Amino acid sequence: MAGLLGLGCAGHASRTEGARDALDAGRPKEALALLNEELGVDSPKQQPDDLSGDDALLLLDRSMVLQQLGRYSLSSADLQAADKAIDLLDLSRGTADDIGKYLFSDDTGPYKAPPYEKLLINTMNMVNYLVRHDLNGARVEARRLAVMQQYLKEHEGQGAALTGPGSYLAGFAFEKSGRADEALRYYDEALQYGDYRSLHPVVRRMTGSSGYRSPRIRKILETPAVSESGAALEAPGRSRAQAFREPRRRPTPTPYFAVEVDEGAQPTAPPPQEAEQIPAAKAGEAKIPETGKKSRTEIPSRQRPKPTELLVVINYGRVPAKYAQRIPIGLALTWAAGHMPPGKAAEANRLAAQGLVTWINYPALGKPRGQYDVPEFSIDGEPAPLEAAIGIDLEARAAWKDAQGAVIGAAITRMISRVVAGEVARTAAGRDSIWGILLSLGTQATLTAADTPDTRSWAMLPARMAIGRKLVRPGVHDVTLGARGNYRAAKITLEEGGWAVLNLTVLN
Amino acid sequence: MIRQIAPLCLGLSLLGLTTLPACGGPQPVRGEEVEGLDDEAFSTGLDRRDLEKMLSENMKVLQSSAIIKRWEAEKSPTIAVLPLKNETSEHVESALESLMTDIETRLVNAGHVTVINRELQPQLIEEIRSQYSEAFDQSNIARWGKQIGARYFVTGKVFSADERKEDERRVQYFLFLQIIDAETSATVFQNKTSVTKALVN
Repeated sequence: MAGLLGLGCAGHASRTEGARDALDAGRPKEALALLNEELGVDSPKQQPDDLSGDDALLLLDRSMVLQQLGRYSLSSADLQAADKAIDLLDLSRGTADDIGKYLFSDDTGPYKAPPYEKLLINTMNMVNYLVRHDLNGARVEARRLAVMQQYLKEHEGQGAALTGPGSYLAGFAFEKSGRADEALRYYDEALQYGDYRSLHPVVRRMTGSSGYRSPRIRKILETPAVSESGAALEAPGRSRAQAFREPRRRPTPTPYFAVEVDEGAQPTAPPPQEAEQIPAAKAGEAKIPETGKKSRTEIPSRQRPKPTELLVVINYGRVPAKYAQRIPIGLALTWAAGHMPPGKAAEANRLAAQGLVTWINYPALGKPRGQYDVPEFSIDGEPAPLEAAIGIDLEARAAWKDAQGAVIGAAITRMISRVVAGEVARTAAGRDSIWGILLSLGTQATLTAADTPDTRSWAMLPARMAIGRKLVRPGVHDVTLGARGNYRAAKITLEEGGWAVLNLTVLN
Repeated sequence: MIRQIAPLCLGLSLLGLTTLPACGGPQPVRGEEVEGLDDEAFSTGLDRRDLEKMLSENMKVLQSSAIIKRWEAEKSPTIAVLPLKNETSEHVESALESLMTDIETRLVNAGHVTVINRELQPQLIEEIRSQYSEAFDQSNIARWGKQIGARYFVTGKVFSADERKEDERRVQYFLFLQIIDAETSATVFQNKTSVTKALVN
C-alpha cells in the first residue's frame, strides 16, 4: 500500500528530472542522452513512433537542448513533429478527460498546452530556420503561428494570442523575403505586445515600400528618427528589471537595456563541434551607402538599398518546472474555493473538520533559472545593444496563476471522491468488519496511487529571450554572444544587402 | 457473502481503471497488406493520394488546352519544370518535390514536349529556389530559359487556407500550375486545383 501511495507522487516531471539536472550542471550532451533514453531512441535523429502520450513534450524539451548544441536541423525536426502532436492532443481532449481530471487523476487525458507554449513552438522553430538562412521554412512557421494566434484570439482573447518575439521573427522572415506589407503587419503585432525599440528604425525604413499603417506605426513615424546603429542610446539607464515586461495581459513598453560587454571576457566555450555550419549570408542586389554620403532619410524610399544586417537571438535560463506538492487542506480550500461547486467546498470543509483528510497532492510551479542574468552581444569587440524580447518565465507563472485555482479545486474534488469511495466500500462490506476497513483503505490507496499531479509542461524552455539587431558594414565580422557564463564566438561574412541570424541558447 | 463480494468487485473495478493494459507496439506493414492504408489521411500534410489528385486534374485540363496544339505545331519544344513555391502553413516541400517529378514524368510520357532534366542543372535550380525565397523577379525567366535551354517553364505555387476551431483543424490547399513562355515571360497556361485535409473528431 505504501508502494501504491508512493506511486502517486510520480509524474511527467520525474521523466525530465535527470535531463534538467544535467542542464543545470552545464552538460547539455548528457541531457540529450537522457532525453533520448526517456524517448526510447538511440540517437537525436530518431523520434518515437507514437507521440500520442507525453512523449511530444519530451520532444519539445529535446528540441531546445538540440538548439543549445547548435543542431538546428534536428531541433526543427523535433519542433515540427511535436507541433503536430501537441495540436492533435489538444484537439482530442474531450469532456471525458475533464471529468477524469475531477475523478481519477490530475494528468488524465492528453496534454493541453497553455497558449504561450503553443506560440513558442513556432517561434523557436523560426529561430532554427532563420539561423540556417531558410526563409521558406521560417515563413511556413510564421503562417502556422498566425493560425494559432487567430485561434487563440477567438477562444482565449486577444491577450493570449500576442507573442512579441514570434511576430518579430515572422516580420523579419517576410522582410528579408521582400514582402514589406506582410512584414509590417507582423512587426505591428510585435509592437502591440511591446514597444521594441529595435523595430522603430526598421518600420521607418519599410513604410517607404509598404502602405500598411496602424496607430502604432504612425506614432513611430511621428517621432524623431535616431541612427539605427545607435538605437541602444534611445533608452539609457533603464534597469534590467524594467526590461522584461509582465505577461501580455498588462502590456507595458519593452525598452532596451544596454548591455555592457566585459572587455576582458574571452569566449570560454567555442561553438559546439557538432553544430551545423551556418550558411554564409546571401547578397542583395543593392549597394549600401558609404559613410559621409547621403543620409538614409535623404534617399527616396523606393531606391533605398537593402540593409546589411545582423540579428541575434539569445535564449537563456529556464522556465520554472512543475513539481508534485502536498498542501494542507485549509490552504487548498482558500485557494480553490472559487473554483469548486458550493456543495463540494462544504463537503471538503466538513471532511477537513473531521480530520479525515488533512493534505492534498497537486502540482506546483518551481523557480525559474537565470532570469536575472545579463546576456552579452558584441561585434568586432564593441558591445552591441540587446533588447528584452520576452520573459517566458513570467508567461509561465501567469499561466499557472490562471490555472492554479481550478487545478487545486479538481485535486480537492478527487480527494473527496476517494474518501467517499472508501466509505462506500466500507459500508458495503460492514463498517466494523476487517473486510470493510481493508477494502476502504485499499480503494482509497488505489485511487490515491492513480492520482498523479499533472506536472506536464515544456520544462526546457528558456526563461528569457533577448534580441539584438544591428546594421553592419559588408565584410567579415567577429560576433560574440554570451549568457549564463557561456560564450559563442562566430566569424560571419556579410555581403552587401546580406543578413544573418545568430543564436545562443543556454538552458542552465 | 454478497455484501462482502460486492465491495471487492468495486475495489477491483477501480483498480482496473488505473491499470489499463498496454497494447502491442506498432508493426511495419506494406501498403498492399492493409486495405485502404494509402487512402487514410495521417495528417494535414500532402500525401500520395493528394498529389495524384492534384496532378491528374491539372494534366487533364492541360491535355485539352490550347497549349498542346501550340506544342504540336512547334514540334516538341523544350520545357523545364521549376520548383513549386510553398506558400502554405505546412512543411510540404518534399511532397512538392515529388509533384515536380510526377509532372516531368507525365510530360515525358505524353510526348508533346522535350523535358529537360532539372537534375542536370542543380546550380540553376538552387538559384531559382533562392529567388523563390525572396522577391521573385520575372525578368530572370528569359535568362534562365537561355541558360537551361528551355522554351517553356512549368512552375506554380501552393497556397493554403488553414483554420483551427475548438476540435478541428482544416487545411485547404490550392495548387496553381503555370506554364510560362521563357522568351516573353507570358503565362500560356494556368490552372487551379484544390485539396482539403483536416483533423476532425
